[in-house]
Order: sequence, then C-alpha cells, then structure tokens
Amino acid sequence: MNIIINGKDVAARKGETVLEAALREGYDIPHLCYHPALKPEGNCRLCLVEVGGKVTTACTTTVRDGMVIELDTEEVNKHRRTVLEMLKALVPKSPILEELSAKFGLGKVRLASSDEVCIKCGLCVRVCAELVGADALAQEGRGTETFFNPPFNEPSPDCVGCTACAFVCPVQCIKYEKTDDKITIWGKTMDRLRCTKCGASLDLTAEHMELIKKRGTNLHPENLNLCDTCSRAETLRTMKTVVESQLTLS
Amino acid sequence: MSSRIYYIYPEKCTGCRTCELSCAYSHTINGQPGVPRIHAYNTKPPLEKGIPVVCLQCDKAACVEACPTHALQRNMETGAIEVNYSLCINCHACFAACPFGNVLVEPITNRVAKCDLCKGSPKCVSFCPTGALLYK
Amino acid sequence: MEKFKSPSELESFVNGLESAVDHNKPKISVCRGTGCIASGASKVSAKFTQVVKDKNIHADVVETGCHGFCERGPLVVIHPSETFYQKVKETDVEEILDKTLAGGQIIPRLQYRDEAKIAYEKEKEVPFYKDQMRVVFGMNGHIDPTRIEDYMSFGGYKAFAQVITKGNPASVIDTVVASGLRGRGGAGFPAGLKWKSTAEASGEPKYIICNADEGDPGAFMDRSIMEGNPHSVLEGMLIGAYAIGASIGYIYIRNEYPLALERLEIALNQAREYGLLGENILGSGFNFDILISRGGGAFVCGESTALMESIEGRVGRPRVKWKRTAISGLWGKPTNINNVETWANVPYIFLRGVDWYTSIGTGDVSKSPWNGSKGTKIFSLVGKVNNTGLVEVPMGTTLRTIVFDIGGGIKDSKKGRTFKAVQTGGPSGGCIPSEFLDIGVDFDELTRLGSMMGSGGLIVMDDRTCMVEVARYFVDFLKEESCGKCTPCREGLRAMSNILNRIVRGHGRMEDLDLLEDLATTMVVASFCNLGQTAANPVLSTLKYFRNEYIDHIQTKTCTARQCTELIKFTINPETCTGCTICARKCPTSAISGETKKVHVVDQSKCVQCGVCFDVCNFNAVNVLSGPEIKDKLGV
Ligand SMILES: Cc1cc2nc3c(=O)[nH]c(=O)nc-3n(C[C@H](O)[C@H](O)[C@H](O)COP(=O)(O)O)c2cc1C
Ligand code: SF4
Ligand code: SF4
Ligand code: FES
Repeated sequence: MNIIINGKDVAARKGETVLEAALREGYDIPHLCYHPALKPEGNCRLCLVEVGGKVTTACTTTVRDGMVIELDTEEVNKHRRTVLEMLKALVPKSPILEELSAKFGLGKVRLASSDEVCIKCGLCVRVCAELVGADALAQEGRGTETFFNPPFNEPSPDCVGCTACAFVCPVQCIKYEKTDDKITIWGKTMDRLRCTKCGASLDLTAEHMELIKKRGTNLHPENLNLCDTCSRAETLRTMKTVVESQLTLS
Repeated sequence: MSSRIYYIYPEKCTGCRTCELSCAYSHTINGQPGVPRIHAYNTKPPLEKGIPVVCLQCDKAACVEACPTHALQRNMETGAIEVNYSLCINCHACFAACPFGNVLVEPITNRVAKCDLCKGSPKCVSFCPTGALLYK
Repeated sequence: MEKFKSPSELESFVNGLESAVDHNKPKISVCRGTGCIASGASKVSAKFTQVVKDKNIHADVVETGCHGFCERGPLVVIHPSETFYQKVKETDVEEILDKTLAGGQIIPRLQYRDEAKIAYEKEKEVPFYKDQMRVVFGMNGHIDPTRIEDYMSFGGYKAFAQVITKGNPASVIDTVVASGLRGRGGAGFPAGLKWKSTAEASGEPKYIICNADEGDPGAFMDRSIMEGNPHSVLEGMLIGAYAIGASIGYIYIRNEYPLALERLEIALNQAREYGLLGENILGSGFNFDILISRGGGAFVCGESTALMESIEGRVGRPRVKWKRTAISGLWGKPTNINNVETWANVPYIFLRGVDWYTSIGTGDVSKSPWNGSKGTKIFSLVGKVNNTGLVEVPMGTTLRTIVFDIGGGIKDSKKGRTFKAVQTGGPSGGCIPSEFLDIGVDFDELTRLGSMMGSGGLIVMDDRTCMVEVARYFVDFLKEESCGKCTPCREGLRAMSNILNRIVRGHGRMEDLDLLEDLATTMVVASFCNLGQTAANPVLSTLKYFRNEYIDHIQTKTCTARQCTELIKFTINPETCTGCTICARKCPTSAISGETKKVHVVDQSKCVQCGVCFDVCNFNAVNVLSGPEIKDKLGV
C-alpha cells in the first residue's frame, strides 16, 4: 500500500504506524517515547504530524492506503515547539532536548523550570516489564507528581541489574555504577557474575541470568557462566577432537 | 532460507589470522578496527595447526531464544543471524547465551556484536589465503 | 420466587402489580438518598415505620431514593395529597401523622418557603420542582429502591418483556437511533449508533459497560439514579445487551458510593431470582449477567479506555485505541460503554414510545440523532443560587429557567449580589456569561459557547466570583487528576497552574495571556485523552468572556470581583457603620475594633481577608477595596 508523505508517494506496510513507515523511508519525525521493540504508547506527544489535515501523533496512527501525511506544517511545528517547551521546562539540561529545540526553532523557554531530570516518557518501565520481564519499575503518583522508579522508590527485589532501562532512556537520566564485581542501579547493589573458568568479570548478574534461563529450551546452563573467551576455548577443544579424528582417518 | 552455507576446512587453516584482521577492519568503530567476530586459534603440538572459531548461525540459536526483544533475526538471504540494533536494549543476554562464545561485547561501545556474514560477502572468506573458509 | 419462563409471564405479572396499586391509599415517602441520610432521614423513616405500625395507621411508609432537593433534607412527601415537607425531624413524625395524614392539615413550620417567604403546599408547586420534568427521576419519590416489585408496579421491566416478545434486536437499535438518545456521560455520542457498531462487530463475547465512575466534583446524578432506581439502569442494560448481543455487562462504580453499590447488589440479586439475569432469560435463549467492578477512585478512570484498563486489573490510565471500543474494547472484544443516565433513559423510550421521547428536547432527529438533543437531562445545580440540588429538565430548557425559576435566583440578591456566569460541564467545562442566559441548554449549544454538557454540572456564579480564580481552581483540580501519562496535559496544566496562581496573587504579566493561549491550544490538539484535550476549557472560556478580569489583575492588581485575597483590603465605611459590633465579634483574628454604637475600624496588619465581616454586616458598611483604591483610600 502507499501513503503520501509531504506530497510524495511512499510505500507502507499494512498494520504499521505512520511513524514506522516514515522512519523506514528516511523521514525524520522527532520522537522520544517510541521504541521499535515496544507497542507505542503515545506519551511524549512530540511525534506530531498532520494526517488528513488533523494534527495527531504518528506513533499511534496506523497507516491506511492513500493516507495523506504532512510532517512540517506551520500547525505541526507550532504544537511541536510548545510540547518541546514544556519538556524543556521540565528537564532543562538535556542534550537531546537542546538538539531538538535548535532543529525546530524553539527559542527561550517561557515556562518556570522544574529542574527535573526525567521527561516521564515511561520507556524504562515498559522495557523492564515487557521486554526484560523483571517488572521492577513502576509509574507512581499521578499528574505532575508522576515518577518512574522501583515501587515506593525502594531497592526492588525484582531488579536484575541489566541496565536496559538506562540504555533506552531518551534523556539518559538513569544512572548506574559498575565496578569490577558490583553493579549498582536504582539504589540496589548486585554482584556481577564471574567466569567460572578464568574468573573474568561478566556483564551479568545471577538474578539476570535466572531470567534469561527461563526464556529458552536451548540454553546450555553449563555454558552460561563462561566468558566468551572461555566458551570459545571449549568450542576449540571440541573442534580439535573432530579435526584430530578426521586427520587420523585420512 | 538461504541455500548458501559457510564452510570451514580446518585441515587447510594455517592459523595466520588474516581472517581476524579482515573482520576487524570490516566492522569498525569510529573508523578504528572493531572486535573480530572470527578467531583463528593455533593449536599446540602434536596437532600444530590453526582452527577457526566463528558463529555457526545455528538453526535453533541460543542467542535468538535469549533475546527478549527479537533483535536477533535471521537474514533470509544470507542465512546470518543479525543484530537489529534499533530493537536491541543492550541487555547482553545473547552474550551469555551463546554456548560457543561467538557473541561478543565491543569494548568502547559496550554493545554486543556477532558475525553477520558481511551481508552476504564475508571478508574472512575473501581474504583467507589458503581457502580454509568458504561461503557458497 | 419463581423465575419467569416467558416474556408474557413477566408482562402479566407486571400488569398485575400495576393494577393492584391503590392510588388512594395514603403513602408517606421519606427520601433516603445519601444527602437526606446525612441530615438524619434514617431516623425519620424509622420513626414513621414504627408509629404507623404501633398505631396501626392505614398508610404505607416508603423509603425512597433521592428527590433532588438534598439541601432541604430530610424530605417527606405525603401522598395522595402530595404535601411536601422539608427539614423534617424525628420529633415531627407524630405531628405529621396526626395533623396532616389524619387531619388533612398543613404544618406551616415544615413547609418550603422561597426567598420571599411564600410557602408552598404540594411538591409539584414548589418552584424547585415546578419547571422540572422528571422522567429518569420519575419514580424516585415513589418507590423503594430495594424492592423490585415497587419498580414493576410502575411498569418496570415491561419494556424489556416487550422487546423480548418482539424478538428483533435490530429493531431495538433502530428505535434507540430514532429516539435521538445521546450519551449523558460527556461527549453526547448517539447511543443507538454506538450500539449498532458493537452489534455489527465480530468477536465473542461482547461486553457492555455502565460507566458509574462519576468523578466530577459536585455531580451526583448517577449516584442518585443508582440509589433511587437501580432497576431502571439494569433494565436499560438488559435491553442494550439484547440488542447488541452482549453476554456480560459490567457496572464500573466508584468506591465512594457504598449506598449505590449496596442497592445495585440487592437489585442484581432480585433480578437474578426472577430470572431476568442469567441463562436463557425469559425462555428466549438470551444469556446475560451483570458484574460489578469497583473503581480506582481517580477522575481519569471515568475515561473509557482508562476504565477498561481498570476493569482488566491494571492501573486506570488511558490507553491507545488502535481500534474503536466497539470493535476492540474490554479484553480486546467488542464493547459498548454508556453512562448510568444513558442506560436509565432506555426503558422509558420503549415504555412510552419514540414519538413521546422525541417530542421532548431540541432539534429534529428524524434524519440523524446528531441533529438534536432529545429527552431530559439531569443537572446538578450548585453555587450561588437559592435552591441547589438535582434538577431534571427537558433538553433545551434555558439557563434562565434553570437558574432563576428552578434555582430561585441568585443567593443574597437582597445584598446586591447579581448573576455573573454559569459554569457547565464539570471541571473541564467552560463559563457562560449572562448574555447567553436565554440559550436552550443542549449538547450543541453548550459546545458552541466553548463549554460542554459533560455529565451535567451547573455551577452558578455571582458578581463576587472572580473568573480568574475560577479558572485557577479548575486547573489546579485537573492538575491533580491528570494521570501524568502525556506531556501536554501534565506539563501544560503544571504551567497553567503556575501562571494562574501568579495572576491571582497580582504577579501576572501581560505576556502570560499569550502564553496561556499557546499552552491551551496545544493541550487541545496534542493531549492523549479527553481530559487533557478539554482541560484548557476553563481557561479558554474565561479568557474569551472575561478577559478584562485577567487584564485588571495584571495591570492594576485589581480583582474585579473582590475575591482574590492578596489583592483586596477590607475597610469599614464610617458613614454607614452603625456600630452594631457584629463584625468585631465574628472576626476570627480580632482585627476589628470599635465600641458599641461607634464606628468600627479594621486593623490591616491583623486582617487575613477572610471576608466574614463583609458577609455578616447587615448595613453594607464593609467595603472591599482592590487595586489603586487601596492606595487611594488606605494610603499604602
Ligand atoms: C477524564 C474523563 C472522565 C470521565 N468521567 C466519566 C464519568 O465519570 N462518567 C461517565 O459516564 N463518563 C465519563 N467520561 C466519558 C466517558 O469516557 C464516555 O464517553 C462515556 O462513559 C460514554 O457513555 P455515554 O455515551 O453514555 O455518555 C469521562 C471522560 C473523560 C475524558
Ligand atoms: S543484547 Fe540486544 S541482541 Fe542481545 S539479547 Fe539483549 S537485546 Fe537481544
Ligand atoms: S490527557 Fe494525557 S496525562 Fe492527561 S489524563 Fe489523558 S493521558 Fe493522562
Ligand atoms: S513518540 Fe509518539 S508520542 Fe512519543
């Protein structure tokens, strides 16, 4: 099927969103709360576009054949700037927001600054619950008192220290600390596993490993706690036996 | 699925490690050579020779099972399991899962890396001086 | 109790009950709605029951649901004379029975008197009731909500029996479309069209939901329907479920409504015992039951997708509608949501006919239900009017009738208070100024004026109500209630609240007005759900109709209405002060001094601007200064 972006015919796939189609076809739509591995939630409201003359969010609009989409109308840019202004008032010191402001011509922020660090897009909670499967984070409170953290902002028994939340955070506000044998995130410190052969520190915790084990039937528990070098050494040994026997045969 | 298969002929390998070099240069990080996805090991006597270890692109791959985001997907044209970095959440589960040690973590970026068969024209194969690697 | 095996069995049972009613038998109906219970109705009704029994009096005592005039509770109506008594106490009971019931005498003390002290005898003569048209509330003053037979004795469940007899779900939908019934919960979407989409959608099972979250502050019409006539809601849902092909219904009710919950549960059990809910209802093969789901308590839970999230066991926060609710709603199945009052309208459409229904209200819906507003609407009338409470009027009734006739005009008009505006539609509605008093209230008129019907809140404001403060109040309410999911609503309300709070404190800047408008327009367009999309209404409508008040606050630090405490000062006019001392005695901070019969003075350093002196002074001697007047008169 085809959609029309800024007057040009663009190929689109049934069931995908306007944002997905546009990004794939090389168009730029600012977006902060969208992650391709998650179902869109439409929280940040930055991915505004005009669909058939009506301003709406690209990430929550499913394509239809012949859909007419405008990315940069006066109307879209005006609202996009206001949303951006709201976000900048919330989180004044964020490089990505600076970059977007420059791109869309947002001048001085007229709103009182809240001096927070999180834009409340909710990606961390969703990644943790829906992808990692740890479900250690929650959206707490409501309205302007909305916070994303482990329940009651206490170290969560469910956190596995995988740092995926910090990785997906669009404003990089989730901080963690790694030492050779510990990882600390959301106030919880966990041991990093060590390679059972060479003792090298692995970038994984025992808690995380438990989750990973549940994902497949084809995972070899005896190999899980080895570093890649030691795993390859095992592989090499196996191959050597094969090679030896073949060389003797010939 | 791809009809092409990656062959290793260990009897022809001399352990010269040209494959590692070509791999590192074709997977650069900021213009610098990246980590090689293939390793050629020199074995000790009495079997004094080289053995290349590289991703087997397993049919039922542990890395694919372990990945929570379906970021690891098989490229049907080349047969390679590739990392789709826009889906990847950098959890390193694939790294833990691979029983052969063929999912790596790149030092500078801290991102996972694995053999992608160079999108169908593996450099290791082209550069192997002895014909120990083949992709056909 | 026997389960009815066929619609005709049910119908003849209902007919039997209807004709068995002795309309001449004396009946004492005591309101036991939440309002009257709070003012002591339970004791009153218990006393009536006891005395009637002890003295073997030939009369029925009926504990009914809300009569709407809660402000005057406990309310008692004596039938068949329809004598209306208000503020009845336990100690009045014997006297009522002796004098009024037995002797036909009126007790003047208990009569309702309007502002001009005129007394009224019959309920329907009382101005509060005179211009009302009670359809949905029609049975509220007559039946005991805990007895299904009471409902049936007024024709209850007959509409459902007839629908089943006819056996044609599609024609039921056609009837609802033709009636022009539009949703009473907010958006005014034609109910029939919504039912049709759900009926036509594929997927099993289908659900219907009754939205009884009622989160608007000050609104309690849904509560009163459920408390006073729960079976009308159930019958509406039964007819809807049959038409749509739904097998499960949910009533999503807020936790703060224990009495409504209790009465619904009783009603559901009675309906089940009669076989009106369950398997093979009336032998027709139609299976349907209703479950109760208790709300999470947040305002936003009333939004349809948040409500479904909550029923599904998650936090009540709006979710993306990839498909319409009619196609993919609760648990991804076709779902139809209607408001309590919408459901409660349905039986009457069938019982009295489409022609009757469309004769009430505005527009001509013969081509499309969008072309008018039919039937009645219940409003919760509060604020600066003499009579407050729940009023049911035909759609299209003018604001003037509601405020001045039913509401009895502006409170304290003798002290010079005048009408300024009426706020409709709940927290995200808008303010309508006096030039529109003669518009007929319906869905489209209110929207045209920049407000909305919402769930039917009507707050009357007088000249002492500051419109900037009104906007600030609602914005602060919505700021607390925004779920926090999306940027424009959460951050837009935060910013608006900052700005409005600064304007009412006299620190506003002229640029703030543009800023408010920018924020508002983006919130309308870019917010995720209807809460955020309408949250700017209080600001937009006051900016539109009362911009001067904003400008006064900003430029001359004058609160036009003399309400914003940081911009006003209280002084006593030496010319009119009689030295009655009442203000000095009532002032909570003893800021007023003066001897009897001598002029009093306010010590500005002690005054906290509470306004008590202004309210208690009987000689209009307390002046409220604002803006430049303060400097002129007080020299500060
Ligand atoms: C923030 C918000 C709160 C709402 N609260 C209620 C409510 O308390 N009761 C209600 O019936 N509808 C409420 N609604 C409207 C519902 O979303 C929905 O439109 C309505 O229940 C549909 O029923 P109707 O067509 O019969 O009006 C609310 C909507 C929003 C956006
Ligand atoms: S690191 Fe990326 S590719 Fe590997 S398992 Fe995690 S998400 Fe998947
Ligand atoms: S508009 Fe946005 S923040 Fe406001 S209630 Fe709806 S989803 Fe929540
Ligand atoms: S990316 Fe669409 S709303 Fe955030």
